[in-house]
Amino acid sequence: MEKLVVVGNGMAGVACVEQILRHAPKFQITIFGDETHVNYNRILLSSVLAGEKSADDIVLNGLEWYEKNNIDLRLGVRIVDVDPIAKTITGDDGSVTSFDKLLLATGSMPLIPSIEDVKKDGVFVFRNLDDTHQLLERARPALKAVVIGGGLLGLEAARGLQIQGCDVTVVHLMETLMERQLDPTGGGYLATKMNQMGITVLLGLSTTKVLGNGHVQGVEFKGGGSIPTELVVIAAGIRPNITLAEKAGLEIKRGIVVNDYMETSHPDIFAVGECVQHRGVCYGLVAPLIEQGKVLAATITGNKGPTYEGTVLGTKLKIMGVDVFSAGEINDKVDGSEVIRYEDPSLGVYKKLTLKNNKLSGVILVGDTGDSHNYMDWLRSQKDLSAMRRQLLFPDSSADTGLDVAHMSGNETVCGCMGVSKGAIIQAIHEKGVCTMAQLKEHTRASTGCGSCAGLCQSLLKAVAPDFQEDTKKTICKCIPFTEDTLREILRSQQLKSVQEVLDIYGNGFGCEVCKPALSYMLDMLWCGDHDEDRSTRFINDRVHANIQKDGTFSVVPRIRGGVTSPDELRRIADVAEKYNVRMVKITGSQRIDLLGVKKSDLPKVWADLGMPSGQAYTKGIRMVKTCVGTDFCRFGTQDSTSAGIELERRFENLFTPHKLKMGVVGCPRNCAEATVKDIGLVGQDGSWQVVVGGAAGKSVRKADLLITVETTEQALDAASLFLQYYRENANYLERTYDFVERLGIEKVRKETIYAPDAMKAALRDRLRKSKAHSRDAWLERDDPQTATQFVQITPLQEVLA
Amino acid sequence: MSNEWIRVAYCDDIPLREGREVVIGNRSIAVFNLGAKFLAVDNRCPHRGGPLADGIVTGDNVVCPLHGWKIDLQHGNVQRPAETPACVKTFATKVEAGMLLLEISELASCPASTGHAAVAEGGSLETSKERPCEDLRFS
Ligand SMILES: Cc1cc2nc3c(=O)[nH]c(=O)nc-3n(C[C@H](O)[C@H](O)[C@H](O)COP(=O)(O)OP(=O)(O)OC[C@H]3O[C@@H](n4cnc5c(N)ncnc54)[C@H](O)[C@@H]3O)c2cc1C
Ligand code: HEM
Ligand code: SF4
Ligand code: FES
Repeated sequence: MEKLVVVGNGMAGVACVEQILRHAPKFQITIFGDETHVNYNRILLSSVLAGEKSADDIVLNGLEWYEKNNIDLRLGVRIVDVDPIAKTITGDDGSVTSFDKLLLATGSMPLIPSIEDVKKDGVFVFRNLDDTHQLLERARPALKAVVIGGGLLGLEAARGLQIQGCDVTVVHLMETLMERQLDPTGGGYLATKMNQMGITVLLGLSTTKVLGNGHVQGVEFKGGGSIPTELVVIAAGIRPNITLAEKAGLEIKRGIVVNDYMETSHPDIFAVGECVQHRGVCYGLVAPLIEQGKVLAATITGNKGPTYEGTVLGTKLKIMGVDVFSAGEINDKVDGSEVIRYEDPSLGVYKKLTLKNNKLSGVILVGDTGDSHNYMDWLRSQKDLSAMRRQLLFPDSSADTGLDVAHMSGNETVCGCMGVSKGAIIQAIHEKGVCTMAQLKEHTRASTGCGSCAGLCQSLLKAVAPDFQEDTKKTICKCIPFTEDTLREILRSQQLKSVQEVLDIYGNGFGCEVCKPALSYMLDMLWCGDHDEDRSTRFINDRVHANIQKDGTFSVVPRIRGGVTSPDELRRIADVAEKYNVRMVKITGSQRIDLLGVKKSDLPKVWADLGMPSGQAYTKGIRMVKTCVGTDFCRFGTQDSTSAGIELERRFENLFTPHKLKMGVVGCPRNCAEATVKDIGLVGQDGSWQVVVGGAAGKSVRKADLLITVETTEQALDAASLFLQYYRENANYLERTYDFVERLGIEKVRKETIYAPDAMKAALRDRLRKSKAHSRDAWLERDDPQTATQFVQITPLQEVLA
Repeated sequence: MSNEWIRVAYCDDIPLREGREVVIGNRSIAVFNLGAKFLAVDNRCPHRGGPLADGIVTGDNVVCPLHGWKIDLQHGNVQRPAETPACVKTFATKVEAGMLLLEISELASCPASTGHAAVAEGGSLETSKERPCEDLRFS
């Protein structure tokens, strides 16, 4: 067998090896990589920096892949020399390896502009996993960071650092952000969006010097101005890695020169990836490298024939909530080109198409990239667009998201990065029985690049695969495309404190009845009252603190802690019921009294006359604690369930929760107050309490799981507190504890609450205490309404004559 | 059949993106502050009569608090459930000197069922309980 040696364990080299393995086995393969990681997806480093993915999530081929294919992997070895005549290479560990065929896939390295003192501690580049880990180590809330370079890489780095809490400024040499992909108008829209996200953008500034002694303290610009900073990331471009090629005496220009068969000037040395120059072009994106790899695999295995003819590039910015897409020619001043534009400054949408002879030659989209696949297809196919001139900017306005997979032709590309067509995906579904995204990725490599085609792949699977299984996380609704975990993280790290602000920056600007209350809850939970409480985002029950009934009137349930009341309270309730013509007085299933049929405008008066706090029966919050009579009266009682229940209710009342939360406390396992089917229950035993969680007796019936058994009432209350706060912080909105506990598993819940490290427990208690300190009886708004018309029906200012 | 502009409220009394009920005679109207504009519709959901003024606003629509029907406040038609041939009456609004004015006309628009306009004709403010679309019972 011939010996194939690959230098560079990056995206292009390994993708090419994958292709080579598809041909008849011919080589014994060795791969050298100077990074110490297995083959990973470099594109997603941005997501690692942004905390959305871990290093493990972005692995493309794990060790078992190398083993399975008998590939000798040498990590951490840098190749320093090539002898093209003896056909050997030398590593920095002194090893000499001979080859029959050599494949250079050395990628590129960050371009460092000439800036004085650029070697200072605190100056980083952003190219590989180690860089990313270093940045993550340094980044912390309120740290000042400067990113030099306002291109794709720089902006993604800026956003990642910002998500880690840094206060980020992007300094760009040009007057336009991403000037290689955008025109000045598009760049302007992008800059606005970045500013809205809280990233400062400085344009037309040349950085000349890094300030500080030893460690970075600032950067200085041409002309003398400077800004303070503690961290600098240089993202000013890349330069192909060609040192080895030079040593091998290959023809080089900016990159290693290759022909359409991907051959270099040496018959046994080949090159692929960012290090090559093909027809004068050095690429910096994955899509062309994958195409090159396919051609090279044919050439090197003796199946020479296919040629590489260059790639039409489409670039997408991978910042959630900032949609930017650009492809083809961006210069619209070319002779004979026509420009079609649309812009809406308040929506932040800008679209520009450049046509030549009725064919698409370039496209720029900012703020709405839903149709990018369509445009990419028109660019590649050079379809004549004369017949559809009226719909060019809004190709399919009826479709909800992007383009309808049903209308795509079989050879249309779905995954631009990996060059996978719709046909190839359908084939994989039919022939390999693919039915999940994970399997699709494994078999076709679709959606393993930048990930922006995940939606399309998903719809294809849904439409074609008979046993389609969804394996993506759920977002709240269409308005805001994030999972709730991510959203909570965003709100926290971005210090966002108003629902409208969140929707403006990360969503569609409007929101709906689903996401608005969910976001309101998250803000309240995170900021404990230190947020903008916008009642327009709340359901009516939470605007007027009562439960709306089918006829538009409301029900009023005062708090009766533990179900224990007094003759005096009962008298007041009776008086109120009469005075306000309450239509029904009802004992509820949770040991309380419900006054039904109260007019909205009477609510404040009713509350005042009752002189009792809100029972929160209308909201997603702490409802009640149902108790039995316990040791005080019951002959079986082993614990004082009534006082424990009242104390439990006092500690948690007025708090909000992802869904309603009901509790119960019973004095012995006879369970008279049904504590084992409550969200949180305390079950008394001789000398101890069982704390149970996740029970339900509603639409679903579920017996609660045992969280812990403890000796004292105080310990039981503490365990309940830990669970409550953990649920408040980690459940999805409208997820009852019984779904939450079932989703996570009681073992995990235990590990992260009662068995968590002391510091974590202290932090949970602390945040609960803070929330509790800020909470208050909502019915006090009777004296202090949120707005003058909170409970009022408006009568016209002028007299209206019938 | 005169159209009449009626001063109903100080704009400040209708919070941003919320609705309020205005009672004119014995008719209940929901007015909404959408920031750039105010919109007004009959305060009665075509589904089961829910109070639209108490709904959550989404864009130019409101979602009824009772069972989640979505009503377009601009035109009065039902957006959800889809293709429901029902609507609510809409009223023209304008702002003068910080006050919101409504135009109460008997021929307020109802795109989904122009045929019902006749019902509304001759209605005065008292008799305007007739809602053009209410006859379109859906079940
Ligand atoms: C943060 C980030 C975001 C990106 N986002 C996108 C995107 O959204 N879309 C897109 O298409 N592209 C994106 N790219 C670019 C894309 O990652 C590259 O185009 C692609 O990784 C290049 O592949 P390659 O194999 O040519 O080079 P690399 O993946 O860099 O692989 C080269 C490997 O060879 C190693 N090596 C070099 N010299 C030697 C030597 N002498 N001995 C041993 N090993 C050596 C290097 O350490 C490296 O591991 C992004 C890049 C970064 C850094
Ligand atoms: C989003 C879709 C819908 C939801 C969520 C919904 C929900 C409800 C609910 C909860 C009730 C009980 C109301 C109460 O007792 O207060 C109800 C009653 C009713 N709904 Fe709907 N509904 C929907 C769509 C429809 C449609 C499309 C129609 C007719 C075309 C309709 C016609 C009715 C009628 C006639 C009643 C009264 C039934 C009765 O009084 O017995 N609904 N609906
Ligand atoms: S649960 Fe036990 S203690 Fe409580 S009332 Fe019933 S029997 Fe008595
Ligand atoms: S009454 Fe409005 S949705 Fe049912």
